Amino acid sequence: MLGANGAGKTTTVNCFLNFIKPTSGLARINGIDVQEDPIGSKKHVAYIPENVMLYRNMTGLENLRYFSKLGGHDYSADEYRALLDRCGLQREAVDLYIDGYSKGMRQKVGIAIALAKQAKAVLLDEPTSGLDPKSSNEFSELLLELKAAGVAILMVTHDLFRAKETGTRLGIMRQGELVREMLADEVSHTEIEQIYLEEMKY
Amino acid sequence: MIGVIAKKEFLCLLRDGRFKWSILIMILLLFTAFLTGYQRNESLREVREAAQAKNTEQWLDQDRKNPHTAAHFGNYAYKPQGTLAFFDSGIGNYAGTTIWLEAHKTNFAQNRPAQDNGAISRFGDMTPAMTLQVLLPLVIILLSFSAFAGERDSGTLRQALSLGVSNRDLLWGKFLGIAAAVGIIVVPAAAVGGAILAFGLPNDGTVVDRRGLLLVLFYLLYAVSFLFLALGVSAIARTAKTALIVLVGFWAFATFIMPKAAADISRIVTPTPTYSQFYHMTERASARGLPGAKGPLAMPLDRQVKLERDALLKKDNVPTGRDLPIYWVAYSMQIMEDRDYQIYQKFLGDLRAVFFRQQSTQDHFGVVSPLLPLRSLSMALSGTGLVDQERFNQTAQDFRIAMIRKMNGELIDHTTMKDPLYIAGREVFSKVEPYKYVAPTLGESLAGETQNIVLLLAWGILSACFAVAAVNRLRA
Repeated sequence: MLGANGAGKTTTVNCFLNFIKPTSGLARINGIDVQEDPIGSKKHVAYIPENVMLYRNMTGLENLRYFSKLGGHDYSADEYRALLDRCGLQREAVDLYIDGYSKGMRQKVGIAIALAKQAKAVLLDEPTSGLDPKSSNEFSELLLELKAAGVAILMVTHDLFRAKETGTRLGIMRQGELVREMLADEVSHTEIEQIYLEEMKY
Repeated sequence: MIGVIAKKEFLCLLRDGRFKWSILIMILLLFTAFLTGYQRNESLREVREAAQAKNTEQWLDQDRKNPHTAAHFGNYAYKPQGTLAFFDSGIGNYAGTTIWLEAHKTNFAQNRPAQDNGAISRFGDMTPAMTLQVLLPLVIILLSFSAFAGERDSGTLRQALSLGVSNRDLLWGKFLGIAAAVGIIVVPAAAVGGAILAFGLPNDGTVVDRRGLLLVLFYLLYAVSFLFLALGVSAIARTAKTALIVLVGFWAFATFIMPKAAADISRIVTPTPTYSQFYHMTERASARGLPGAKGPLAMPLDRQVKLERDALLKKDNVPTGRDLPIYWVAYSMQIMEDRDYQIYQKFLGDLRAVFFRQQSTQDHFGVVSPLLPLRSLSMALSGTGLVDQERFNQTAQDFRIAMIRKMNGELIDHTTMKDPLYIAGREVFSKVEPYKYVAPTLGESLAGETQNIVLLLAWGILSACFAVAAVNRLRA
């Protein structure tokens, strides 16, 4: 999902998470109305915010284990380490307190939390903003893996290039409305940019 | 789920430097409070027990003399220091502990322990009760104000809620986690208190264990109220800073401002008569008659004496007092003693009613501060409240009139108008049993505390409801 700052992209995500009550309309995850059954609907979705926030008095591993248990899944310590490894977190950082983590490192723990949940749908709110190109690339690889595994992904991003690379359908939002939809396969990078700029003119 | 949250909450608190320090300081304070409380209790108890024993000895060993004169020599009644007074000294610091019981005069309890303190210790003794009543809520607030608000500030609340955790699980998890951290502080201190009770102090027959259990229960209820309150405010407040300001404000209101204000207001509503007012009223009633009374008490003293004398003259059919078979001087003295005892009972009863009304006014403010009901219950259970003080005052006065009746009676029995001389010694003085204070039973201690128990329970239940309602509308 693309759109200028303030277009309502994060608000849409918040509606799915029942953090905001919609004035009208329904948000459904896996067919479950999020307002009617907020807890049940969240069982099927994982969420990675722009800034993954973690408990500073706990290590990366402890944070992952805690949030994973909150999400209803528990694994062995080795499995957690493997997961963090897969998300690209340096091995020596796993047992350090979050205090010393960079934004990128926190983002990677956030991805691990989302993966640990084994959800059928994933909500991503600018997950790669502030990541270095290599990490960003690794993240895209993970997304493609999830996509191949049949996970539905809704990603808010400003990165037109990654949107085209990882997305199936692209949407552009303006003033709270989805004004344009296209299939990623049917447009080129330059076309996407053109369409985007065109929509932003209004 | 709740267990997972509780464990994480507990772990994070323990790892937090600020909390480590507050826990350490609190443990030190509680230990100090228990040990100084124990030490003070022991020294007071020893002094009073020794003084009471010495007094009995002096009473028995006084020179041979007329029994009425012996009653002038008098006795002292000492209020014993109850076992649980080491935990909560209650009003004991400001209430008299010793009453001189002598012929003709009714005295007030003297020797308030606070009189021996310097100006610096005006804040009062650091008893375990005060530490728990005032500082424990502060520690609970410091440990819990950020529970929800802090996570909202940092964004972790969003992360947690996005995973599908129910608000209630979060509340109970945090409740248990913080409660465990507070337990780290309180449990060792409670163990010291328990050890002092078990090994350091004599069980004075007041069924300390049941009282101790109730104390634990009430303090637990108090602590839980503050914890729920803090969690509720933390859930509602926009930021952790707001939560902290609101909670510390309430803490200061509930533990400092309200107790003082309630005491002041209770004195305005029901003023305590001054010492001189009290004596003026009783002296007047003694000489001129008690207003509103019936029979001899309503008459002036000389009329009552004359009536009694005329009755005796008629009964023995003699013309003048000099012809009476009994020693009229001793007999008339006892008439006056009995009269004064009844008059003082009336006025002391009125004074007691004033104190209890003041107490009851203060208790009403328990609606706005949980400290007030807890404080009353704590004193009542520790045997250091108003009920105990008044029991001491009353039994000492009863002891006094019994002692004087016995001594005057001895004089009346062994003298006649013609032979008024009677010198007695130990064999007669020992007919006065030494004064012994019998503490109220548990039921008597709690008889007037129903309202406070209800209030404290209400604080616990309502604060829990508030916390549940607050997290129900919890927003990330």
